[in-house]
Amino acid sequence: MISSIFSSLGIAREALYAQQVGLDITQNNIANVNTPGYTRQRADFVPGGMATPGNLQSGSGVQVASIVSYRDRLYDQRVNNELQRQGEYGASFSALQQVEALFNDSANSGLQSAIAAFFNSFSSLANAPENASLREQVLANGEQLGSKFRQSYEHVQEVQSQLDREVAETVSQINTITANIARLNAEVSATRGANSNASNLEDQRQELIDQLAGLVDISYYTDTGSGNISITTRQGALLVAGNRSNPWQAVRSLAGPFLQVHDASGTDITSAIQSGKLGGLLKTRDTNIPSYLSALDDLAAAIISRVNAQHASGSDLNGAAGGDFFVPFAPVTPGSNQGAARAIEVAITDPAEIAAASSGGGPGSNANAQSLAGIQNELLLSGNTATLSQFYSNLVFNIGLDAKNAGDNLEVENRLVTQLQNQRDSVSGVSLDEEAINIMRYQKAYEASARLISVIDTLSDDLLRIIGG
Amino acid sequence: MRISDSVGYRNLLDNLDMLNARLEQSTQEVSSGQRLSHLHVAPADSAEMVQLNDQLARLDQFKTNADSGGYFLQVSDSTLSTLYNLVTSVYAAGSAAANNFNDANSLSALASQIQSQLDQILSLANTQIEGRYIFAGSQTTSPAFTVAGGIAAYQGDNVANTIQISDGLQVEQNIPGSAVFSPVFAAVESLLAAVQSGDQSAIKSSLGQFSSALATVNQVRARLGVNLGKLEDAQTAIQTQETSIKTRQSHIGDVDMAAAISRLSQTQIALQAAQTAGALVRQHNLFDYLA
Repeated sequence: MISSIFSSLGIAREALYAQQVGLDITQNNIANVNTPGYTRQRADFVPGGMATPGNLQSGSGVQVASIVSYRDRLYDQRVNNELQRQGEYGASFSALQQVEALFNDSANSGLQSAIAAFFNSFSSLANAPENASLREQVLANGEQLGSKFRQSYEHVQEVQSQLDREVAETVSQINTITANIARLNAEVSATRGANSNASNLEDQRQELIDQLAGLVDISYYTDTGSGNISITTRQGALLVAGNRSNPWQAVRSLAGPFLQVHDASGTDITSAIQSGKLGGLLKTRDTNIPSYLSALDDLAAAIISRVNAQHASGSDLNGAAGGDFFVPFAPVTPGSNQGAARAIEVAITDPAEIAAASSGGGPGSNANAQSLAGIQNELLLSGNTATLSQFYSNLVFNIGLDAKNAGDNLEVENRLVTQLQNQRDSVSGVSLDEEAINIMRYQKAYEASARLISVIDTLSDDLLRIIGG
Repeated sequence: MRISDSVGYRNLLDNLDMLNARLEQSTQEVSSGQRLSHLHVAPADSAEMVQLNDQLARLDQFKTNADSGGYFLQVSDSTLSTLYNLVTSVYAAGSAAANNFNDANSLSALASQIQSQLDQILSLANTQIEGRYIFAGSQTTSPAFTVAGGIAAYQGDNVANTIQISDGLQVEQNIPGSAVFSPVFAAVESLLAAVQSGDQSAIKSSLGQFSSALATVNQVRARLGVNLGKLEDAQTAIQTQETSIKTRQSHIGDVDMAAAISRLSQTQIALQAAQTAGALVRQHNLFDYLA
């Protein structure tokens, strides 16, 4: 075969086409510089097949072998892992911040000051046990104590209910995302089947997987053949398989007051969710907050039973034996204090019925008022090792510590996610400077090829002139 | 490392976020002066603050108790001081009556003087504070002594209240009147009867009861003095404790203003620098130079 002038024209045409593809991809990269999850692409050029004109070998130009994405699956995986924890700590921290605000006694207006005021009013009453206004004060402080308990308890419960509502919202977000991932799985495998470039679809899908990781702890793997990504929770609950998603449901059950998460087959998978926003919501709702509520219940139950017992051992202003000061707590579940903090309420309405006197003592006896005031020094809680205020301050400490841990962890995760995203972007992200250089490169190559065509044109003109000559 | 455009923007945004958060925190600290605005800032310190507030409330209560108890004891003491003087003056009248040269008129004058002093003693025995009979033991709502047939009888009981003036320290608040007033009434009543009947030997023998009655009054006053001393000591101790608790509270709860203000201005400068640098760096790329 002899090299012809027209084969050169063919080489030039291929070259123009290749540079055109390069420019297209550059343009696409630039257009997506701000698209979240976009992975920059490049055109891989390969030399065309060898032509052998006579004994001389020359190349037959350039071909676009493929368009590839700069995707690094290892970074994808690491970013994804940290996003799960970021979601978890973010949800916990935001809920715990709301809880801790209710227990911040630095303004000295919280539950502790109500407890102190209540017992100190017995000490005041001891100074003048027959004094009607001091007796009124005891009742008022008792009622104030009850209302502070209810207020604290209900506020914490309100945070808990809010978390419950967020569980439902998060489950529905998860369903939307998994449905979209399943749809993208189908599109990716169809596109790949048609031998087309599925990069943009894969980017979209990866972005959704990142969003999903923020919501729930997932593990996923890519089927290299079809390009499908299958997703389960870390504990194995199914989310996406091929082109099908497994929609979850937030179900109110008889087993408890809160929503459970069920998979499409109706199996309760609540305990299989460990991280991500949903994991953080569930952990705070089901572990942290119940422990605070139960501490409040224990505190209230201890006050009710101890005050009533002491009150009964004295005599009131009329010489009668002391009755119940607080309405006795009737456990809903035997042996459990659950609900005591909501139920605490003063039983006495007549101030004269406060048993300030020792048993049989006259109206001026203050012995029982002293004993009632002294209850705040008794080791009533934590297996008889803590006073009321020690127990309460321990609760304050625990709430603060939980919030601090969540906040500290969140800060670490924020930094880790940023760092890993930066590392991922150092491979996958678009650099405008780089694209500017690519434009120059492709433009120059295009110009050179175009120039070649014009040279070939001149040559063929010369030939035609000779022939026509 | 290859720097893509998103890395630059993300870092800029992150730095601005972080600096803004710090600025917010510093501004809050400086404007409120409070370090423990959230429990998570320092959980242990917040928990300690709860205990310190509780102790302060307790100390406040002890102060109230000491004030109220101090007033009670002072009224008791001044009543007994008046009683002592009255009894001494009754004794003087009795001594005058024991003189053989008294005629019936002067004896009768002395008798009516003693009668009026006896009335005063009864009124002292029934001293009230805000309607409470302070010498009636726990029967504070009715008079400690009532008189029937010229004989004063104690109506109260022997209950002595205590008041709490610090953790583990209680002080007797009231003196049941029986011990201190009954011997006095007995001595004065028998003297009065003797003077009224002009029985010299009875006058002399009833005068003999006065020294032990007066000694009892003095003993009780001494006890009141000791208790008042305890109250004063307790009040001083409360003040010292209060000061140290407040110092501790301010140590853990107050913002170190100098440090906070310097942190605030540092953060402001850093934020401005980051904004300026961000704006400068992101202003240009290679496209600006392509024809």
